[in-house]
Amino acid sequence: MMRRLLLPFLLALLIAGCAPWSAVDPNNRLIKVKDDYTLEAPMGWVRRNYDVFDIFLSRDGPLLNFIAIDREKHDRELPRTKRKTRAELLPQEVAELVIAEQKAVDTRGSFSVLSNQPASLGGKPAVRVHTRWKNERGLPIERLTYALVDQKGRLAFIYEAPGLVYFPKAVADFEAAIKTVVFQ
Amino acid sequence: MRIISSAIFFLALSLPGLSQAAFSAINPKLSSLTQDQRPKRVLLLPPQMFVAEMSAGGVIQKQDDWTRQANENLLAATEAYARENRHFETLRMPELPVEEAEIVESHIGLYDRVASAIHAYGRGKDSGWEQKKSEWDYTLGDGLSFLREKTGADSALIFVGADIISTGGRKAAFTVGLLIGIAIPLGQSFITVGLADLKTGEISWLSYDQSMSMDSREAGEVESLVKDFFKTYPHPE
Amino acid sequence: MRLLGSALLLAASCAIADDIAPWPGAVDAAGLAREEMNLWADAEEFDKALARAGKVRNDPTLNAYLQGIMDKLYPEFNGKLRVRALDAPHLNAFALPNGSIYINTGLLARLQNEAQLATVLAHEGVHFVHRHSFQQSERVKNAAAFALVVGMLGVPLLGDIAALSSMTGFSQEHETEADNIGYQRLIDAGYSAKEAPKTFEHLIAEIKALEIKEPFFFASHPKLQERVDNFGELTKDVVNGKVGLEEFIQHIRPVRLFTLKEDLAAYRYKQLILVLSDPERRKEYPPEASYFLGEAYRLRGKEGDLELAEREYTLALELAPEFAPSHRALGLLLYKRGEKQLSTPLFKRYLELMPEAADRGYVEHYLKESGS
Repeated sequence: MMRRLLLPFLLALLIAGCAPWSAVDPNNRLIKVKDDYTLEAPMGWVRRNYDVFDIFLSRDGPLLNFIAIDREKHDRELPRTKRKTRAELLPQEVAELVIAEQKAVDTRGSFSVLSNQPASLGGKPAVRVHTRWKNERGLPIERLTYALVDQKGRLAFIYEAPGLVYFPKAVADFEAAIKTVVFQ
Repeated sequence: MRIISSAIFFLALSLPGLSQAAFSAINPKLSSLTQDQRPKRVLLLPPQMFVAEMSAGGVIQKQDDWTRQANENLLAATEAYARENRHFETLRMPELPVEEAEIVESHIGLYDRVASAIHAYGRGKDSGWEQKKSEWDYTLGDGLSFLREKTGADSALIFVGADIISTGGRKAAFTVGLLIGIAIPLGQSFITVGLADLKTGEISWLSYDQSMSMDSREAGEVESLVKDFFKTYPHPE
Repeated sequence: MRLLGSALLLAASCAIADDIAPWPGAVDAAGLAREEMNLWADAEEFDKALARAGKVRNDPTLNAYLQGIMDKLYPEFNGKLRVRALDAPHLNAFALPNGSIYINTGLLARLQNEAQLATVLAHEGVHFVHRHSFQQSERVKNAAAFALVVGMLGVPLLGDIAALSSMTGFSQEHETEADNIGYQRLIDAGYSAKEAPKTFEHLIAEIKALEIKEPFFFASHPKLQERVDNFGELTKDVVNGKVGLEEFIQHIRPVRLFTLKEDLAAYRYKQLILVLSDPERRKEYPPEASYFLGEAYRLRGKEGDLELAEREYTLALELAPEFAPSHRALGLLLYKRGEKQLSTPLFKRYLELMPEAADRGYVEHYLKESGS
């Protein structure tokens, strides 16, 4: 009888202990990605504790805004273009790939590149690409991507939100977080 | 095991329709407003609810005539509620030129996302999101403010949802499933209603309902639903 | 108990006869039976969603051209079959139950003449006229009901998959009917019937070369080769009709340029090389196509491709000197090779021709690095 109850009890404990989200602690905003970089999470945001991305944050719920940050090795193919990257790619070539990966999503109507510029991320040369598309309701969705390649692989910082209200509302938080990136 | 699961399913089948508003979320500001400061003229945006039929084999197909009926039921029930309770008056959306209709449509698209976010995170029930309940800043922005001038309304009410109605064949499959211990999903409904200030876009209140037995084609059932929704609307003391 | 259960279910899902008559001409939705009206309403919503998302190509001249062909094929429908181009790369066209016909820019750009375009449109028109969506929806519901019964009785769900495969498109019978009846429409409208099999022949070649799995337009269709053979039989003794090459090239030119840009931006370089390295097909493209071919070689990046790219950029500069991207492309190739003195005037010319270039920041960076 006790044994039969133990497993559900342990499961319940595990589930309760592994909360999916944690609010960013104002007294401890630093996020460390091991052997890679640190950044300061923006105030008022909430981090998803278990995610396919290295870091995933949202302020109002992922459908309204999110920041997703991910590092991948060069020899891993990009999902849509099936391209691999190299440390020697020019920033413009990195931007090309950022755009190509988004363009390959057929369901995005009215896709446009609003801006595409060289940038700096933690002192490393990077790109800053701002794109927009519309969904089936005609709601514009905007994405701002900072991306770079280095010896470790490729790294992308993404901020996405509906273009109405929510993108402009929290883009400053994202840009501020970008400025706090420090590579180890 | 089969006997237990069958018993549970029979029980579920025999319970009266669970059609009460299960959730709500309220902008803390709304509760503190005096009667004078509260919404007085509410524009009823065209409901964004679709009604579909689930066939015996589980194929879901939208039904345009049922959808029109259900949406009309929602509007009529809201108008009736407003007349009886006199918290605010209502008016229906006039015909709009194409550009304005597109603006409304894109804002309804935004509302869809806002309502989902409030449901999942804005009620402050989930760990990590507790602060959202008091730090409420959900909004549609001022993009719909042109409707204030156009209609004289100060707020907009939006219904969004889906009602999937099982056919007789599907219900028969459910019954047979019970007998042999297989769970055959039946249709269900999920409907939300939200109130937004037309000047600022601020969302002041949302209510939600989830039911396995509601039929939005029936005017009486929709009237009960609307009354349940507004039970969660904060009235002045 | 199980037998009783399944008997009840089968009784509930009574079969609908397939004797649904084709439309004789333009039809008003108000006169439809309930089930079909709901399908049309769904289709109207889909039309609106495509428009709102910005997927429908905003080109009145092109859409008028497409509509003119459809009206020639189906004159008795008085424009009820509405054709529009969709900004989408795949080799696809589809018909909705309400008479909306869409053809992707990806497919439009690959066709060779008006007769081939008419073959596709005639085919899609049959799906609407013969009410295939309505027939399909009844079959799918009944098939799903049958599959459910089969599943509940514990029989493996192979029947489920076979019965429901038609949900992904029209059935093979419908597609064959659309080919055959569409073919007759083609001849009646005065088009060259011999172009019908060619529509698929050269698409087969492209699909094989690009190693694409048979694209959606053909997914549930009889296999492409079978269709070519079928058309070959039909067209054996037919006198030739209109091919419509010049008119087609003129109307489709903007679509082809658009498709080049889209394919390049999405890294679909194989398609670009396949089309533009064929001298005959290349003639149908504007002179700046050489730039796109150069870019495709650059992206492919095989041995010798950079030299091929350089050749194409240089050709583009000769044939279309005001086309700014060619200057940038050649400039970048030389810059990466370390020939910064040669790249500088090209970058400067690029910025003169395109002061509002979205990638201005990069080019200014290269100029700065080159000491300019």
